[in-house]
Amino acid sequence: MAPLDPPHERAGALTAPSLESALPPGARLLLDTSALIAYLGNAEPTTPVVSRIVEDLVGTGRNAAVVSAVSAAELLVGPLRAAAAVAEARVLEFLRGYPNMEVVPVDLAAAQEAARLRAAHRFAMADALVVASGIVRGATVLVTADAAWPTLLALRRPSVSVCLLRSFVVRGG
Amino acid sequence: MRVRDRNQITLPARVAARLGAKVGDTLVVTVPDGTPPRAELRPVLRSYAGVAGDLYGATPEERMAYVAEERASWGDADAGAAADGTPYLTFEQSKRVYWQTEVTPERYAREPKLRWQKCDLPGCRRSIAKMREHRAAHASGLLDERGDRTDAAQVARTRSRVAKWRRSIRHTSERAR
Repeated sequence: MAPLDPPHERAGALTAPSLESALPPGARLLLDTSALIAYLGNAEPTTPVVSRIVEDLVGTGRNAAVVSAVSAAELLVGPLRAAAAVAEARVLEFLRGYPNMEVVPVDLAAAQEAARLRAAHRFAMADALVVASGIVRGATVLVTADAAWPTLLALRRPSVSVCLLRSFVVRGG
Repeated sequence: MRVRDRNQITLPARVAARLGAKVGDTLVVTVPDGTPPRAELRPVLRSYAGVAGDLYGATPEERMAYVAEERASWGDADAGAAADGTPYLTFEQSKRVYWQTEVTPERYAREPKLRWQKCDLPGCRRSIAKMREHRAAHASGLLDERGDRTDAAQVARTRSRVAKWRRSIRHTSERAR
């Protein structure tokens, strides 16, 4: 009799090796606001997944990561609104200095790519700028906690795949 | 500091102490543009997980709402409000909240429910126009965690309605046979 699959496989959840196969070595990752909020904010079910991506894949240099300046601004609004100086400093430190991660400014190339996405596919401008920042830096995988992205991106930008954090949560502990 | 083979250097103890750097820590070196060239050395934490705590919201739903609010600020964020003052979702917020539905501008304009917020409680998640009243009802115990009324009379009325509906379904299917 063939051995049973491990429980998490039978439950349809993906394991750490499958996360690594979804993010091949050398693939440049675009980390969006929702993914970084899952990392920097309070722990939630997707936090271990995004922590693994940031700390084990990006931090070690296996994968480079890019973050749009739009996302950086969005990440700073929360601490600034709450006047939480320590958290603001930590978030800034992370954005400035985290190894193998680059915050991409909205330059003319990104603006042109965003305009293309908006004109052809009616992306909202903020979404278009975030994705464009990744495309101009050669990102091939969008890492996100936002379940709307696979639908938004699948048909419109097949060159960029979507890594939805929730898909990699191992259910039932 | 003397640069040795393979560009190695040893961080002087007082510099390490000032940076708070310990064995195993990571330091990031950046060389900003400008003349003369100079290098900046910055310690980074091994992990930044959770450094912002609940500043983006206490629950995953609140965090998604945080992102939706920031995105909505790019466009016309005023989509109106329900009678109790609950703001309606903008088109962009609606696309995110109702991600399982293909929210188009036409559907958003036609279907009021696509402008309603979803309850934050994981067991409830109902789409509600007057969310402030709904949350108050949860808080006061008038609604249970699934969003069902807790008063016995209302529960009886709901059960009677459901039973009537089931009977009508059964009746219709029997007639069809």
